[in-house]
Amino acid sequence: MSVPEQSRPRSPESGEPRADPETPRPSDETERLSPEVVAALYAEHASDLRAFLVGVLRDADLAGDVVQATFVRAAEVGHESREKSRRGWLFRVAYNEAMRIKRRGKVHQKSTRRLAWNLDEHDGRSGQDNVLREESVERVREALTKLPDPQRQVVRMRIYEEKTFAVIAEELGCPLGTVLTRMRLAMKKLAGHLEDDAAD
Amino acid sequence: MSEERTWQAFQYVSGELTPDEEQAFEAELADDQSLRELVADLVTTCEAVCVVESQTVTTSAPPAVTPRRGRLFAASVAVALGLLLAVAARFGPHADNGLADTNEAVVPTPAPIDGIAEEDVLAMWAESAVEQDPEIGLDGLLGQSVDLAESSDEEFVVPGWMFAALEPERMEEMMEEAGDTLPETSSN
Repeated sequence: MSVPEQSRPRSPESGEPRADPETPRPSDETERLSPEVVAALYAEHASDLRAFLVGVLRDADLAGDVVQATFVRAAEVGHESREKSRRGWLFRVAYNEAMRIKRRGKVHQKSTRRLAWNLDEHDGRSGQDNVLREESVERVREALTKLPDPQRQVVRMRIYEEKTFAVIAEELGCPLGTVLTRMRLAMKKLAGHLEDDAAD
Repeated sequence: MSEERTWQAFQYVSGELTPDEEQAFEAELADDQSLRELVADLVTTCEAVCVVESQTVTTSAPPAVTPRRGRLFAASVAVALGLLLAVAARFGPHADNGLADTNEAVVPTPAPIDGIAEEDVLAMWAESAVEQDPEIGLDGLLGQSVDLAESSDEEFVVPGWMFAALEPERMEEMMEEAGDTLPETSSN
């Protein structure tokens, strides 16, 4: 008799249903993901995980720590996840760890006010991360050239110069609503461009 | 992903949501993988924008001179010209100073270096300064009040005490002479 998935005990780390406890299980050594598999997962997903965690924690150092912790968990209990949904599993483990850190108050109010992308140059990226980053930079560069000048100006002032929308509106002599609309349209185009590339 | 969702995610990563909104958004992140992917994409996009814009700034023309920087540079030039004026007034051919009577040594104006005349050196200095700050024109630097080039054919008169500083024996003599004339300091 098979146990319904909802009623199966769930891993506290990942939320993934555990394997049927009644089923005889091989030893952990034979069940765990091999180091090669973990390394391949890291190469494929670490960069996106780090970006996600920077968005949640707004701290590049903490994000790097959580990425490492996530793959340690993957080595320990990653075999409990389904192979097809392993990326989602990794994100969920990372999210849970990030929330745990936030609840502990390790993310100070000061750092939460910082912009998520305000990274230090030495943020512990691997060479492969940098290659991926260069690809992203080229895609974004192309997308930026397609933006109307007023939209690109607002994007630059908000993201690169880290000015608030109120300051941008004052400096440009525009209503705040106009600035917000320009930013919103620009982000839609930039995000859409990335989605198109991901689909290719 | 809808425009509204993208905008909300951008507000989240840029810290513009209220605490309640942020909490609600994070609750959705717990179960929505597409939303997590969107957050990751937006952070990657923002990082890339920073890289592109920083490259744009560094590869474009030199930054415009700000009024503050221009004022600082003008003040520096004014101080330098003032010093030149003071030196010229003190030691120039028309200088009227007491030191000239004590021990004068007349030295000719240094010959041009490698065939470069003093006028040319002055002109090159002024041009380089104008290149750094176009707002300050050549006229401003080579004003009519200071025309050192005019004195290039004349002789500088250097007081003897300056040469004495290079000769220890002579310096000692001068100090002894000065000691005879100076009032003794009172000791308590």
